[in-house]
Amino acid sequence: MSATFTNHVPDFDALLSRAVDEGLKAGGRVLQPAVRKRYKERGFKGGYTTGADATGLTIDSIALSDPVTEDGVRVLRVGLPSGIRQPGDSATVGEVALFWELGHTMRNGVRRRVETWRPVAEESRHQVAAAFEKRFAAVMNGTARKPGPRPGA
Amino acid sequence: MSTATSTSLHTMLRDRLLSGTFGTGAGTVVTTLLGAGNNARLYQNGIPDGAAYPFAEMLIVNDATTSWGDGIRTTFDLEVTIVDRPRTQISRARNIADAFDNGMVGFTFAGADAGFLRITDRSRSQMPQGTGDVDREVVQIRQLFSGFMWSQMLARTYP
Repeated sequence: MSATFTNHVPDFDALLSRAVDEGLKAGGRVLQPAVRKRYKERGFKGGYTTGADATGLTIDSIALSDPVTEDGVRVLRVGLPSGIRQPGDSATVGEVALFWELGHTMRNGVRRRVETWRPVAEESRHQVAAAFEKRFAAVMNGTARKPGPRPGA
Repeated sequence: MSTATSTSLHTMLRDRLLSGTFGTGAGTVVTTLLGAGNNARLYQNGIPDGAAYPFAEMLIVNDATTSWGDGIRTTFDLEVTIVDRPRTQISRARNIADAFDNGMVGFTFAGADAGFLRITDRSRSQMPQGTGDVDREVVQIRQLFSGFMWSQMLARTYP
């Protein structure tokens, strides 16, 4: 008589990692359009002097990073990649957004600040968490659709 | 000091920031750079036009109840922005930031029937030099002090 023992821990580890990463992506896909929507509500002029904090290029540039491990924690960032700028602009769309988010002083001494990212993230944190949980559970339960091209794509 | 109202909470944190010192030994209190009392240039409801440099602004952000504590326990970030000009005054701005660190890091308030508050984390970053129409001579340092509290104002509403 014999018994066979199979170690499924590596399989579980791989499944757990995939579930966390897909959960993070699902959460990011909630925040990304929420920020875009808030920007769109305010218009598309962009720059420091126009009174608007985003251009169409800003909105189109909002991107999700791939999940990475930082200090032992899986992290996915939603933000503006560096180096993207309007033709003729000295500042990148990320720099313009940063100065609007955290406040800046114009040459005439006027200080201005319009926050977008932080309040949107705060307002949508429950939806982000819910999207993570839903996707995480689907992957762990084996009911998630495998990543791949969408029908018709 | 208390957490009985939002106003008393802001006053407590502002007083604590203004009590900080910078430098070696006993240090120099930050009010020598920002002024003292109500006239100190540490603003909590917007920066007045023509404010003299240096000045700072404080703002409580991300104030939210946590998943446990029946809604009474909250976490929050205290954001402080230090602004100085011209950029040769960066050392003065850093001294102010040092003093704010001195005042806030590890700060714990525990008052009898007045709530509990503790600062558990801090970070500091300097903004890059301005571009475009932003004043390039302005230096700006941003600090975040993170903490949690069981505030008297929320406990009072607990049945």
